[in-house]
Amino acid sequence: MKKLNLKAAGRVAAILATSSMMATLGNLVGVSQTQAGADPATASAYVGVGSDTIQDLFDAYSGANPYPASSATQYYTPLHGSAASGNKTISSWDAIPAGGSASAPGCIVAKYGGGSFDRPNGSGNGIAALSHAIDSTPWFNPSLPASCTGNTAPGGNVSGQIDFARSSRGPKAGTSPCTAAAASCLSFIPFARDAVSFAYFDHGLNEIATLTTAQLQQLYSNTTTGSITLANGNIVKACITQQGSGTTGFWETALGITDATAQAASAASGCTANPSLLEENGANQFYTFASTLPAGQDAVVDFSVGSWISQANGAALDRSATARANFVDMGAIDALGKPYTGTAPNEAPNTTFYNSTTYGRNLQVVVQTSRLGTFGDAGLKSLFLGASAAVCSASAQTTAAKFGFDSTLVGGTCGTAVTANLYS
Amino acid sequence: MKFKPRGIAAKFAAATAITVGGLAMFGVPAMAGTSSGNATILDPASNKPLNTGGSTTTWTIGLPPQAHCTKDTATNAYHVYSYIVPASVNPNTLSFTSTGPTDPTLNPLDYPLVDTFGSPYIAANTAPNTGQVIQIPQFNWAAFSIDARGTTASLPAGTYNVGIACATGAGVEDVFWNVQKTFTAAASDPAGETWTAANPTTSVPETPTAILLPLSFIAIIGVGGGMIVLRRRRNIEAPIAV
Repeated sequence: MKKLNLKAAGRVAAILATSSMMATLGNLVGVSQTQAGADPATASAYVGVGSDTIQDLFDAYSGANPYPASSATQYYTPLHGSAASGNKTISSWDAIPAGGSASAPGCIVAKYGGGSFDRPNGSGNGIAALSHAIDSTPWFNPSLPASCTGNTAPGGNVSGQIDFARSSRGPKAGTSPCTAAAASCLSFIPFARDAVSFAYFDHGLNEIATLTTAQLQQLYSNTTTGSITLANGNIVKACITQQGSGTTGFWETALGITDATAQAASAASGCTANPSLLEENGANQFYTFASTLPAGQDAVVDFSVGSWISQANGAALDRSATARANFVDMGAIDALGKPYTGTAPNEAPNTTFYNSTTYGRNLQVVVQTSRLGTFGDAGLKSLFLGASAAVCSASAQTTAAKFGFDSTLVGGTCGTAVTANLYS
Repeated sequence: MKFKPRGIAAKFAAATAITVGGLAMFGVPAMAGTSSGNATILDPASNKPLNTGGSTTTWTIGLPPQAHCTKDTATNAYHVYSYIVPASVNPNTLSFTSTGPTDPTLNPLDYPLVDTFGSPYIAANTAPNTGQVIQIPQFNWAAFSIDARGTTASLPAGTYNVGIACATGAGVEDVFWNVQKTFTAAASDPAGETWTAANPTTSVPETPTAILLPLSFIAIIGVGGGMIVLRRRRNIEAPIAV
């Protein structure tokens, strides 16, 4: 035994000595000191959160698969900045993860080494979380039950964890432009165009395929029953999507109705709680309510046209297949016509509808204004700022079009920032 | 021999006490950041100290081994920042916001460092739990110039404190690692200035390794050799089994 132990010890010593020599040699020639040049792209990617409406498009922009694994899986060319600014890419956290819901979107760790916080769900959440990331105050989603560390007041640590917010709306009215110090300003940067109309269920009768603005205003103003009665005696019930959603806010603004009123009407109709937690752009969840209505009772809900098209065409995560199969469709407003043309999988925007100053809207990226300044962040600017930004490139605009968003109508303003205060 | 380490420890403790006492006497604010050692300007290609350069020279900052913030980002919201401030600004008086460093005098020449791709190094995350400072990027001075030419920021000739600092979620400085750089006018440089770094003569990260590895090699050879000699002696002395 001793003989064997001594031999083993000698071998170990020899191996260690050889390793030590090689390490020393490596040290001398600098091999072990060379820094890696290809860390994961996520290590330097800019992190975004927010809007549900454009979450799938930004999945595509980040190089992720925006559709559940299937034969329809498609990857897109990731959005990346210029070579001079480091070819920086983006990481985009969905508003609602696949299999999740607006009432339980869960929590995220946005960057390596960062803390856990509520997943921002919607444009309003995204802009608020970004604002907290800038002014280094804790953030949590007050609409949700506690689910993450830091979910309850004062909230989780988001400082430095979010670089941009996805937004399906511009700054709130009266908050633009920002006149405060640049550090406390946000910049809203449009990059594509969408429209909002209503999705409807009328038992396949097409009796509410077209509604007027006046009818919709009456419907969402009725806080007593949350409904209107048509000339034929049928009843139409109002559903509003979750509070804080950019689509929700835009719809309410288009109709000239306050959020409180719309939320009350939707609750009065029996469609949602108050405030609503109805997931936007998920017609299946809307149909869960609508399918319970007896003959003679119909329902409508606000819906992004681009999201509708992208789901029907199979570009985005389809949260509306069951509803579409059961006669849920997008409705026309006034004389604008049906908001999309063609049939799935080749639906396309109705440019007349998208051009509407009332129902058409620009989609935005929101960033801290100071990061766009002269002494700003070259990578972020290369991705989002100005007509030559990556998000305004022909490639990125083609991808946007595949997700139902009209890129040409916004051409003149793509990449042009408008400032507003934090939390706007 | 046994008592020597204790003697060194006692001397170190006494020196520390004198230093701390001295700082207190000179009125360093209670909330001031604490130096956690020297920073070293390094050539990223060789990881060796880099003492001179121009505005387009690529460099990075070396910190002592296992340099870390007092607490981490994930649980305690501490972050890592970079800074360049005039030599007249004591780096222990800095605080940090989402735009970089600032000091009580609001010196307009307080800046974050800018990496070689034009992005300021601000509010970086630490490693989880340990609070270790990780992934310090490569920098150059292309975003600055002696006379704010073009779109560059003004960085007049002179001596500056340059370094890495940790700060709490509220931006209060925690610990920092500092080195001084002196900028001198140079018409041939695109930014109109070149620099020299007052790198420390020791504590470069790779130095301990360069010393320890050869020493460990010698030690292992010594132990291995000793064991072989021992075995041979035992073989000679052992009675022959029958």
